[in-house]
Amino acid sequence: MSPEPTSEIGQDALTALCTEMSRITESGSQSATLSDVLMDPGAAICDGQGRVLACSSVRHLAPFSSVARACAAGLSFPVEAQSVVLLNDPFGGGTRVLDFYAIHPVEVEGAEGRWMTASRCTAADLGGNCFGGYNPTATEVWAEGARITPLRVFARGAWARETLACVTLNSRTPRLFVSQLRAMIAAVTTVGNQLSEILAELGQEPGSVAARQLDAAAELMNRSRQDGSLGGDGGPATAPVRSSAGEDSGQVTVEAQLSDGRLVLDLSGSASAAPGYTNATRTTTVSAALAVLFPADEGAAAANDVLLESVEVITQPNTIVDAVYPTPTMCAELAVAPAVRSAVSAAVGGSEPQEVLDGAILGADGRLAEGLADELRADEARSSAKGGKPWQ
Amino acid sequence: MAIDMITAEIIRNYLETVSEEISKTMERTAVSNVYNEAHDYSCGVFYHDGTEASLLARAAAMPSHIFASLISVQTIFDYFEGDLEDGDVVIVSDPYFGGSHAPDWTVMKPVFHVGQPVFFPGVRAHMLDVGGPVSGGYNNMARDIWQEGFRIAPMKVHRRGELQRDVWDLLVANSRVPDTTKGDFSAMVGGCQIGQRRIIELIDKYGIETVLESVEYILAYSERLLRDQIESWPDGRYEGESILDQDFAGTEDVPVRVTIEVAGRNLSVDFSGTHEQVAGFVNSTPGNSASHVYAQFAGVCPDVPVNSGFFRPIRCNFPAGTVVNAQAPAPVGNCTVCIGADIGQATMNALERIVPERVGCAEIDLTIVLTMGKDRRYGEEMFINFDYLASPTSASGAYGQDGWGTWSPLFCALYLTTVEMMEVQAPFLYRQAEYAIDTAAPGQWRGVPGFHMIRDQTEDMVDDGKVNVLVQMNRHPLQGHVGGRPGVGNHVILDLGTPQEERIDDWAFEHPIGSGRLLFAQSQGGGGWGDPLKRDPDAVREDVVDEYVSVAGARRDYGVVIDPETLEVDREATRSLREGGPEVENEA
Repeated sequence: MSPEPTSEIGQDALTALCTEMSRITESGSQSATLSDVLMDPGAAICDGQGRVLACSSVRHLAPFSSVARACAAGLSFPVEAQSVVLLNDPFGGGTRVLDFYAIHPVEVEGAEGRWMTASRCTAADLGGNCFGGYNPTATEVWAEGARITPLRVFARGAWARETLACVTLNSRTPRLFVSQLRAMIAAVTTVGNQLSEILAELGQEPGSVAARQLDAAAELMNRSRQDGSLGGDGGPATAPVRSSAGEDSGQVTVEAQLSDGRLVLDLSGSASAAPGYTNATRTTTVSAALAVLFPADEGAAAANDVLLESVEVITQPNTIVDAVYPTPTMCAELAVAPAVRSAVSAAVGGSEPQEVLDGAILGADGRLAEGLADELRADEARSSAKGGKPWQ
Repeated sequence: MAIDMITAEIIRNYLETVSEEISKTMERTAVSNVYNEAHDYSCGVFYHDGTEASLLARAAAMPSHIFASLISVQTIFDYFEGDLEDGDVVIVSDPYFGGSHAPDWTVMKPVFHVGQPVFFPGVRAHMLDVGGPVSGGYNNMARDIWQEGFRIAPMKVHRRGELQRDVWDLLVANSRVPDTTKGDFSAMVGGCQIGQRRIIELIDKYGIETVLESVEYILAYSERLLRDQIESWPDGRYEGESILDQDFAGTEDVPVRVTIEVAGRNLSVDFSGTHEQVAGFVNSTPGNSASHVYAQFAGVCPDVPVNSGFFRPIRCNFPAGTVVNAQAPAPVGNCTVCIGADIGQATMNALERIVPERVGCAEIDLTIVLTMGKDRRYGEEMFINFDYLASPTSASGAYGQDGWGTWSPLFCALYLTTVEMMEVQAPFLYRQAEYAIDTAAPGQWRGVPGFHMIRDQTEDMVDDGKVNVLVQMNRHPLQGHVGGRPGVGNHVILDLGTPQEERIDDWAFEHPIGSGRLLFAQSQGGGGWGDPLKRDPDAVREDVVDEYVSVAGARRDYGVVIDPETLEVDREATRSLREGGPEVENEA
């Protein structure tokens, strides 16, 4: 049966809205970190149970799912309509202290529970012992930057000036940081406010849109398995973990098997947590695994919770792939994550993925790193000249 | 209507009692031994007239907390600009928002009358840990403020009586000891709520008009008394100086210079000529600097109630960009005891030229020994311990009085933690904790003896324990006055009695520590007052009997000859020695 055009539009609408949120975050921010270097903004739309219905990138699927489910399950404080909750806590479903997530609960007419629009970005600095957060001597998360547990930064339609000011006070680049946060909040509120209207214009019931979004992903999954593009002989496959300084920090070990239609990746044989900042949170590990299994260039447009549910990732706490509080994790993307991708790829018989992130941060000739450092220093000087009052 | 002075005095004392009650609430409900044992916090009642904040009353308090809190109150009021509501509780800590250093949290609760916040009961306390790269917050390698701990801009912890759970969780998440932080923070909030209750009862009893008139009386009374004192001092310019050993970042001998100018009933305190701000974490904010200045004047004018009226005649100038008024984002983590002590000493040094019979050391010189590790007795729970026993003595001699006890008078709100409680709360075993012979700074009235501590760790300490040591006043010890000698200086020895033994005269960072690795600390006493050769020989004999001074020390430092067998003073020999005998030296 041919897909019904309106249904297709409805399915694509959520994904398109995620793209729009990412663009707002990127364009509204003054940060080269977002716009030029990492191209790292992300966005998602989640339902009332915290399931991700659409996401801008598979890379960000796991953390969005994690934080959205935590919000849906209930935070320690009431989240009123027209509020935005901000967090970065690696041990609260996040990835690293510089990775921020903004969650905006949205009343969608006809939907069960409150949906959520969510955005993410990587900040340039959040205090800690090293400018830019990458602290090779860190043995605890506090040496990397401030932990932001779920915090209302936008409440009842207005800026929560004091909490926003306190968060930005802990950044060496407050002007840059404020612009990023404002862009994220603008993204989730702008799209959130349109959500009901867009779905109504499409004549779509929120529940059925959500269901179709998830079904589309499931169909993709089934097709992929029939093509044999998932699964291999199962491993175990091992990949070494190296820090950005090239030091050996242990190894990631993956065993893969298919079980009842799900792919099971067992990483419990991975090395114990390293003393330094190369460890990954479980969320980072799952993200890395998904990036291999559902590469962006192979039409995994419907990145949502179905992809997560199709893969069971087994980790042991206090290993390099499942860091526990208060382990530092800033270098996970450069160390453990590539090793996870490599090991998963080998275990399921796929090709070696490209490690785009490494080059963007620490280019072989150091040029990008220097340029970024110069920008951050200039921004700090401008912030200091303004008297360090980020709320003004 | 003229104020009824008796009622005004009752109200003044009532407010001081409120401060004491806040303090007792804190002491009895806080979790950390920093509060319930050492009493390292301060409480007071503040007032805001719509333009300016004033300190009205304080409990026995730490000067570096309570006086500096005044700027925090002003900052909170300015920041919220009419957005304060009944039931709010506000916190601030950032040094560049009126604070001192990141671990000092100030919590305040506005008391409203007719829709306006008028009174602010408050608590300022040194939190055991506020995140940052180094446990305990003393990061001697910090080169900017972000390397010291979580910075708190003014935030409402309670809004209209409702706990803001997200704010609470945020603050606790940025501490290595979250359970302790929760308990201590709750105690601070509870203290403020007690304060609010009592102030409301006061207003209900006397009426707001009488209370506000009394406020003005309280402030004017102190102002008048201090101006009367100032007027009795000879007009002129008086200079003082104190030198900080080092900034822990490569700069040695950092001078703090002050000029006090007395002109009639007015007085200025000018720190021009002080060293520029430094790379290390000993820079001071104006609030901290002012607190140490006020403390010295409180010491030389002990009969004047200390409140904002007391501060009015004292005009301070802290030149921007100097170590006494550092600009953001300079690190300030050790300002409360390091450069703060030198600010106080320089001021007292200048005051010595004005009121010599009133001066003495009113400063504190903590050598910081921070130990972190895990304790098997408590499920290998992480602990952070600030060992006050490493540096408990700084009381100087003053005219007519030897230094006694432990810390200097204005810091006597700080209690010495008992050895027993330290051993309960941390896996320590103290081998020695006592006054040390021949370490009291000689003077006609001597300083308190220095203190020697030897500490071991028990087998309950898990293997990866570490200690950070920050020594101050090693080369530039606490000053003597009017011819009295300075203190003997501080130092620490790690791994005492082993081949790895190492004497620390400046700092050590994350040095391994555990069972069998003895830590020794010498804490100097405060300086002496007056010429040691004028000390009453019988007093020297008492010191020898008490083993504060040796027979040799009595001869060397005081020119007093004592028979080593009978411990009696040989008065002829003493007279002869003092009149024309050899030079005496303090070789302690």
